[in-house]
Amino acid sequence: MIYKTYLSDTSKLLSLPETGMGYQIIEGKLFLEDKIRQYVVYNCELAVDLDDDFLVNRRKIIDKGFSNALNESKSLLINTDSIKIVTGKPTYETRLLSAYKQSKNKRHSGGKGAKENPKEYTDGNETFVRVSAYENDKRIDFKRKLLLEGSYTTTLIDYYDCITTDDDPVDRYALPNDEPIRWAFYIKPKIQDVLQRGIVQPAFGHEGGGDEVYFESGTSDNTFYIKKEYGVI
Amino acid sequence: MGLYKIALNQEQIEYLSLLPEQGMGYQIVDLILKNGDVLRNKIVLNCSFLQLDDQEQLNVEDIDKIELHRE
Repeated sequence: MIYKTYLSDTSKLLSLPETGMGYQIIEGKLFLEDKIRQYVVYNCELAVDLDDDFLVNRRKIIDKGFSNALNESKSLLINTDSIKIVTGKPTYETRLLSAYKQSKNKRHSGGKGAKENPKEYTDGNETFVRVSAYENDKRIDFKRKLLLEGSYTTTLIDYYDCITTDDDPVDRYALPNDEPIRWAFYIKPKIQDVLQRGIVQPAFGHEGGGDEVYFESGTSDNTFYIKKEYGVI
Repeated sequence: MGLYKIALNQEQIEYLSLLPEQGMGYQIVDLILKNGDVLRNKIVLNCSFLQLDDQEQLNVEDIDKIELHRE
């Protein structure tokens, strides 16, 4: 669930260090409960249960906007004195969310970006998907039906993983967009087309971890074959 | 700090379409302005929309040249 914090808890949180930019991972006890629960708290005032529904709730905050989410949320009945920042090794806190996303959303960790990896030929059968906020994606040549030189896609498998695990594509593909992804462009390169595969590296405050595939020379004519609304498989 | 976007003109869009992306759907560019100033590390989405900070008041006519940002 999503909660707003009481003013006293916000004050306490303000006195505690951030886990990452703009958020804290905390633990504490609710009133009348002995169990310690964990939350991700944004801006010291909006708390989200760090449980199996975390990404769904995080998506709701993105869709509604921070202020609306705050206005609509119930108050978190946490014992102020029990609030602690989740501690561990220096990198543990920042990796907690990452590890959670990796397992739940079938993301990858580490690796290299696509441009860092060797070039290979496609097999002529594999499909790649390019997600975009824009229906008129400028990297697609709609007349010749191809992907322009120097363009990125993801694999069809990774795109399906993104959808079926209800992942956030902006975070998965570390995009700088503040607009939602609305479109998916399907590309099936020909055997002579060359690509480089890699893992999306963290950027713009996003985790990355999706597959990325770079086509330095673009793809052949008639390799772009369909545009669908994002999420429609 | 908020962000806003300005639409690039057709010539700039076509020019950027010929240059490689840094990630799916975006390019990181440096802007050389007509007054001689240089704005570095700016994001262009879909070769079309330049993302700027609220404090950077800029019109597309102010841009003399766009180059891909080099590390």
